[in-house]
Amino acid sequence: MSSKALSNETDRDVLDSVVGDFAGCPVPVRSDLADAHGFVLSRLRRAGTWWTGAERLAIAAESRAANICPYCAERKKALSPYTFKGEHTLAPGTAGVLPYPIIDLVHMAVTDVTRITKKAIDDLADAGLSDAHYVEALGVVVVMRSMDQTCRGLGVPLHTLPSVVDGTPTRIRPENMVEAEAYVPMVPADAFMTEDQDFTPGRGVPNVARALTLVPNAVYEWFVLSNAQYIPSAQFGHVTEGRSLSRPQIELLAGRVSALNDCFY
Amino acid sequence: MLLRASSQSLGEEVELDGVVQGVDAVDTRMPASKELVAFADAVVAGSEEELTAARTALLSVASPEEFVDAAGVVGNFERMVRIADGTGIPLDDYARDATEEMREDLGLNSFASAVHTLGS
Repeated sequence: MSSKALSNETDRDVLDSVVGDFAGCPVPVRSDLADAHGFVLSRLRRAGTWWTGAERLAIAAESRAANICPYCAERKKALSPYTFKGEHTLAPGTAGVLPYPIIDLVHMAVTDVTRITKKAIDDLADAGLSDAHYVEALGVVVVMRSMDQTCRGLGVPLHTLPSVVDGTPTRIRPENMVEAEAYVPMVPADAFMTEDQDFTPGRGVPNVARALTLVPNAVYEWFVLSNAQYIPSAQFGHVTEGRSLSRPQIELLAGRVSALNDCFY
Repeated sequence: MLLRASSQSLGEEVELDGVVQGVDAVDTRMPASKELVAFADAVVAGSEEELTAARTALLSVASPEEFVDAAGVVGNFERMVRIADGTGIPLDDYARDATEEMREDLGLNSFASAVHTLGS
């Protein structure tokens, strides 16, 4: 494992907590799903590339607070979210942990993501934050959303956020990123990420797999969850391979969730 | 695109309208299709009561393993859409060409995120 990467170990206390949550499901939950959730939560409590463990957990908490934030609900109805004034209702304990501009984008990523703009991301610079801070924060938001909505579907409690493990962000920015294709720089289209989170020229990957590559650790967490919740990456291109559900049933769900979120991609 | 490709590969051409229009337009030739779509709707935007009903309905036609798969997939794509729209990535070239007619038929070009995803 490269020194660029976070720990690949799952904390026993975190995994036990996840397994306990899944025990409340009306049917047995396969162990690889618990392993994936336990692994991702174990990483969330630690310093990442640009945020500390405390900040990453605060981002996770804010991703949940957005669901019940009255300002988010009202702003979503507004013609332009950027001219609608108000204050977010924050998660307990996060005030002062995160700069407000990133809290705003975290809430928006949960409740109104289609109206996030490149300018909104670029404006984070006024708060001393980079595009990489945003990408890592978005990475935390999306793994939380993924785990929380899975728990909601299963009818089990949302996982308890673990306690913080002290550490310092690595602050390593990948080289040779491509600008201008998206709101944030990405790895070139003909490269892919290896298991030690380096980028190697070779076969290309879909843009959605390049989207978070400014922060390779976020991509890795993306892969781990996707392998357990969707299709193992080795089977992705084999469109006849599913799980207990057939692949068409899986893709029906995928398409429907995308449509409900007004996601064109 | 993957729904069409996977169903064609299995010799099971599926009407795609239910993806956009919901339960009433679902192609019922696919096993548990209505219950799966209703479950997705309930997880994404339903009340606790609606979700409980959808969960019960899905478990009445699907195995426990299929139910767990469904919850995982719905959660997975709640993530994927936020990655795509939160980073403003364009549609992949191969998908842009392969889905032109389908996008028109299903009205996908009117989605808010089509502006940046199509790069127009």
